[in-house]
Amino acid sequence: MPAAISIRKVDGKPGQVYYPLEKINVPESTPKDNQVVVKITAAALNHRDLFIRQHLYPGTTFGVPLLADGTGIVTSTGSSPEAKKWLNKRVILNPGSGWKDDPDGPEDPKGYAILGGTKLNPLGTLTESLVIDASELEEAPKHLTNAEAAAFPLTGLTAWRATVTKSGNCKPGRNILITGIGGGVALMALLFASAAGANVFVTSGSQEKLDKAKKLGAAGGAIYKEEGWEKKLLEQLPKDRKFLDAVIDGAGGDIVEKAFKIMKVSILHSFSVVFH
Amino acid sequence: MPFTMAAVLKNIDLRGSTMGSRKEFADMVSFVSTKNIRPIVSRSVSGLDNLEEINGLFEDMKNASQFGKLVIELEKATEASKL
Repeated sequence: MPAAISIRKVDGKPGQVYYPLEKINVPESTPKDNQVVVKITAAALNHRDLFIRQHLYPGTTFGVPLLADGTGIVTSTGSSPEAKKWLNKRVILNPGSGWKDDPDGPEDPKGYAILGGTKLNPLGTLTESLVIDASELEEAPKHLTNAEAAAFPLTGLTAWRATVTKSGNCKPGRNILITGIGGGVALMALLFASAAGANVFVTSGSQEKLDKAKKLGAAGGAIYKEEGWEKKLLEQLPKDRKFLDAVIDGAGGDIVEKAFKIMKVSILHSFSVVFH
Repeated sequence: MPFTMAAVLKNIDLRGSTMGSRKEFADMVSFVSTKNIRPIVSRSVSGLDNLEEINGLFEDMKNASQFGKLVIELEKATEASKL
């Protein structure tokens, strides 16, 4: 039976409790026709996993492997040709199911079910192996190590939808502000937007994180703890485009009050990535 | 999160966003491959046996001290156990 890590129930109220980690064994299952067995080589944390340990995440439960991000090798498959073609391939897993391609949101009436630690989905990636539908796999990009391949499915997906699909401003020459750089979604948004040729600006609580972000392609940044940070940011915007086209924000707070002053009149996109 | 009248008068859209579709996942992975994007790993630990080390990753997240992702590698541990 594959070993996995889940949370163990202890007494305590949501928000106050901190469930300990527990090593468990999950039942071995054989892949159905269109399923494959993935031997996990690396898995990664997201903020939701901390919320799960604090019982602040919808559907938090015990005995289900934690974590939504994972990469691994397909070690056996079901009988369908679709499943068989994945044998021995290095793959990453779609971090949730129930959403095919509707631009508005998940089609499944039960909603979107993210992997890891909830009663909405029996699977999680912090496990030696799991059985999953072949349609949830993508080939792991060849230039990435296992750790890097595990590091981007959930945050990459969230950043992609917010930055590329919904902001419509992930384009050359656009000014995009990404708040709270250092978090997974913010960093992927930075990498996507700068690869697309946008001018990316960032905020953080620390100068060290701003400096690191600049090495990754950010054009500038400001420390949000400082009064009037939005004015400092305005000074750094290109001369011929003294406004922000979009803000990708995962923190909420007073971002609307602060950022609107330096946003373009008539088109402005601000995102709040609350639960991912 | 207050949405101010001043923001309304500037025609600002506030759009909630979380996760994405299977199609967006495929598009995103393809972009990562094409553009040779390297996700940022803050720190990684090895194996499922050392719960203290895995707890340490959660502590990084609690303290917001990470820059990039917190990763558990299982492969290395498997190799080590064969020695």
